[in-house]
Amino acid sequence: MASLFTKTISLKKEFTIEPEEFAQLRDFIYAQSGIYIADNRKYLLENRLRNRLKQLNLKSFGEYYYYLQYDAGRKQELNRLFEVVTTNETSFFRNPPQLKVFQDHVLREVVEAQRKAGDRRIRIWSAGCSTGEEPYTMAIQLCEVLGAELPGWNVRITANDLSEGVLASARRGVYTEYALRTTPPEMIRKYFVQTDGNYAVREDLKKLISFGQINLSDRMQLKRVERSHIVFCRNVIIYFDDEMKKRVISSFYDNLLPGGYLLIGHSESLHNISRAFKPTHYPGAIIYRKEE
Amino acid sequence: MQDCKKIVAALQGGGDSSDIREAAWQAGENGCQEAVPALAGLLASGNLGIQEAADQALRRIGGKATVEAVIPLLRSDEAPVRNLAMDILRETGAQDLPSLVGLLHDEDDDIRIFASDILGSTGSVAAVAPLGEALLRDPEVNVRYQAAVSLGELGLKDAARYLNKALGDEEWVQFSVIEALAKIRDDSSIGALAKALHKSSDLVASMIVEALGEMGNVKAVTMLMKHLDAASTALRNKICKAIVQILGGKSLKLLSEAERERFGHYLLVALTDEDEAVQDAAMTGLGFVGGEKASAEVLALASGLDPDRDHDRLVLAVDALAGMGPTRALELALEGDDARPAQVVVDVARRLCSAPLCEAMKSVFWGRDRDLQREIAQALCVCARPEDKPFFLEVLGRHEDGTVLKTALEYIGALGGEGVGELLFGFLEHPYDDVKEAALEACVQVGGQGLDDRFRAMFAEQDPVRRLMAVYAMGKLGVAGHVDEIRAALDDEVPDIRKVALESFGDSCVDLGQWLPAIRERLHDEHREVRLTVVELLGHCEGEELLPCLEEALDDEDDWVRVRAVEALGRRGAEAAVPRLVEIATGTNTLLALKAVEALGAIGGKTAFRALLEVLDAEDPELQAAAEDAVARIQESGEEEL
Ligand SMILES: C[S@@+](CC[C@H](N)C(=O)[O-])C[C@H]1O[C@@H](n2cnc3c(N)ncnc32)[C@H](O)[C@@H]1O
Repeated sequence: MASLFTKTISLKKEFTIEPEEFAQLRDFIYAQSGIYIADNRKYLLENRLRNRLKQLNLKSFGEYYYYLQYDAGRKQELNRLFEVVTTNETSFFRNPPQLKVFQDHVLREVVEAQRKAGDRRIRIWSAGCSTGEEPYTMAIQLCEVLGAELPGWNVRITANDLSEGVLASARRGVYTEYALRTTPPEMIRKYFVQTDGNYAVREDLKKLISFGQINLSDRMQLKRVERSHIVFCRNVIIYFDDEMKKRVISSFYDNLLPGGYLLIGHSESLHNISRAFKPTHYPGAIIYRKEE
Repeated sequence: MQDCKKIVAALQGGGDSSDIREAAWQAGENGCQEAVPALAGLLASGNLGIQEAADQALRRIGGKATVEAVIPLLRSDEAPVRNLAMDILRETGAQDLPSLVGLLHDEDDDIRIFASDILGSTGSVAAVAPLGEALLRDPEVNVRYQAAVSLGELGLKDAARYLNKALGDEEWVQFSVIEALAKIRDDSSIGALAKALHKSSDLVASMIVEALGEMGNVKAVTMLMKHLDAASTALRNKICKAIVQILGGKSLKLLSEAERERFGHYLLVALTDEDEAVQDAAMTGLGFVGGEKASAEVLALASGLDPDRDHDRLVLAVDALAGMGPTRALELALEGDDARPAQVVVDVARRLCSAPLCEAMKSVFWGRDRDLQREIAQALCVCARPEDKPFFLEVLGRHEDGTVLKTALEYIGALGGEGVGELLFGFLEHPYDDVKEAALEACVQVGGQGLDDRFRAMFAEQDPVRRLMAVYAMGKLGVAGHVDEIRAALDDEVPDIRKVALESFGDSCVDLGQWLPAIRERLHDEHREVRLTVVELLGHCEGEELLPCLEEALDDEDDWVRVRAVEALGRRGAEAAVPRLVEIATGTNTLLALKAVEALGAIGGKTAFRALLEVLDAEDPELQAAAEDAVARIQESGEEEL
């Protein structure tokens, strides 16, 4: 009913973010997450937070900055803020051409090499996994490649994200049709169980993945991740400034086993970020490889 | 440093690549100067991971040592190593300029080119003279070219005198010289560029024209005008753009009649140029030169633009059309079948409010689609002409769209007058909340005894939304005239109503003293929002007697209610509250402490000052900084002799 009065005293003025306030918040967000909000995204921050400020009954973005540091609810608020500054957009089989290259070349090569070496372990890291569609897709593709052999292999997909909210959905593993819009129908039939209009990921797929929170701006945290044959970090580093991109990519390099592969988003590039990887061009995808 | 010794040892120890990478990272992290030679050596490593780690470490360490260690790599036979060295020097070169400048006299052409390139990224004024000399004297054309590019990149005025002289160089160098001059924008270049214009190829001429446009110096206009007639169409369009850019519309009106006509004619041609920037300049120019034909053509162009994608261009077009005033072309477009031109015209009409356009809008209104109707109603409402009243009354009687209705209510509310109260009041029963709200605002604006009575009666109704609206309206119409109702509303069972009742005092703050007991009771309301409103109100109105109430709010259970009370006390300079504020400023709740520190700074006085000095030692840096500001504030106000 209060919606009838959008103009009561406390709500009269529209919030705008002052330049110092913006700088303060930007630095704060950067320090907390490595996400750099460029000047041209200022209005986005302003728009997305404005209602939050109203809900909290705060008078300015400066107060919001205080709130984030001192209020009893600051922990939860920080997570909310992360949701605001990140985009969780994702889907199963996102960017099919790249995933085809992944399955037909990268995965098969890794499997072959491991087989030859007599080592039946495979480690994949999905960094910035959002609501889980990406690591589950990896799991499906692995099942496709290994087929009946799967039980004889020791497979683990480590899936991390900054946001606890998206991780909770990821662990649940229940999706709408929309999340499956680019997924081949036979894959849906094979790997999902339909539950009142939604699609649940099969339990045995879930066992391949371990979800956990990580902050990519924390170098020490990244060092603790088990070393991988393949790292996926798609559509995540776009939020970072060059300095942070360099650090994160360098950590992936360190994490990868010799000869390991790195896959990034199709609109992203390592240009000016890293020359350490050897790029291989396939139709519709560039795959980066660490030297043997 | 012991650490650095270990790091150097690890860098040279021939361990595995991840150990070397880690050592390189540590070297960068700890700024180990003594690791620089080893790191520079690793730049040529065959292992890309190691190479990159060394690269990043060197950039972080920087300094003369890095520059000196990396320069020799410019002579490497391997292109990747050379490029890497260049890149590092671009970032670190400013830290040892003399070494780089020395390279400008190297025997090797390539090294001179590299050095010119790197100097452009140093941001240093000391790089200008050496680059200028290279531009004017180096025998190798590519060095001169690169020197000009780098001078432009530096963007410093001192470079203009070298660049002006270099305008006579060969075409390849001219390009970069002109580009650099456009970036530097020094007045001394105008004459030089103008002179060069006469002697140049079409390609160079168009670059010069563009540069002059960007530099925006009026001295160039006469010369550009002279050039118009002889130029090819493409060049002439560019000249038109430059002139508009420089003069910025308004001064176009200062041109002589004949000149304006000639220029207007050329602008119409420029409107069809393939470059959008030229079209835009032509639109802007035509906005000032004007004419029936121009109006029609700009309208046609504007109608083809996409409101989302081309938003800025559309604004430009509407500005231009408004500048040309009402024309027959605009009226015709309103009557036409096409929606886009009509929409553009409505945008223009709301700016012009001219009688013929307003009449035309009304006459086509009922036949157009809903979106255009909304815009027409908006435009007419903005124009606020009394003669449109019958139109809006008809809209209120017939129309069903909420947005159109809100606009009509706004118009009628602003216009006021006899007999509209009844009509407006009826809309308080409209099913849409936003229409109700608009009707309520309109009622408040119109006022009068009749409406007043109706709201009083409405307050007695059961429906809480109706009571809420009544309280809101009575508050706006004046608390004094509705004492009993407002008093009852302060005790209403619905918190929103209590809140709105409190807010009704905010507009005028009169007689607040007399209401204080009732308002004070709300300080203990079970709803936080209501308590916040009380504090807000007390902070916003004047009056010594309100201060004790605010102090009372300092005991609220909710942090933010207390925060608002602290702020209000500070704003009001409540000296009596200082002891409490000092307590809060030195307490454990940092958020409140921050606010109390600010408040103490605003109130001032000896006690506040002394307490603030204590807070200067606080652990929290944010709190320290706030205390420093507050102390400075008191010192500035000069009341405290130290
Ligand atoms: C657009 S999603 C990408 C999801 C998936 N990788 C894909 O490509 O479909 C980006 C994700 O990166 C996460 N993210 C952003 N900054 C992060 C950080 N500093 N540490 C960890 N995750 C981060 C966001 O929470 C978000 O879920």
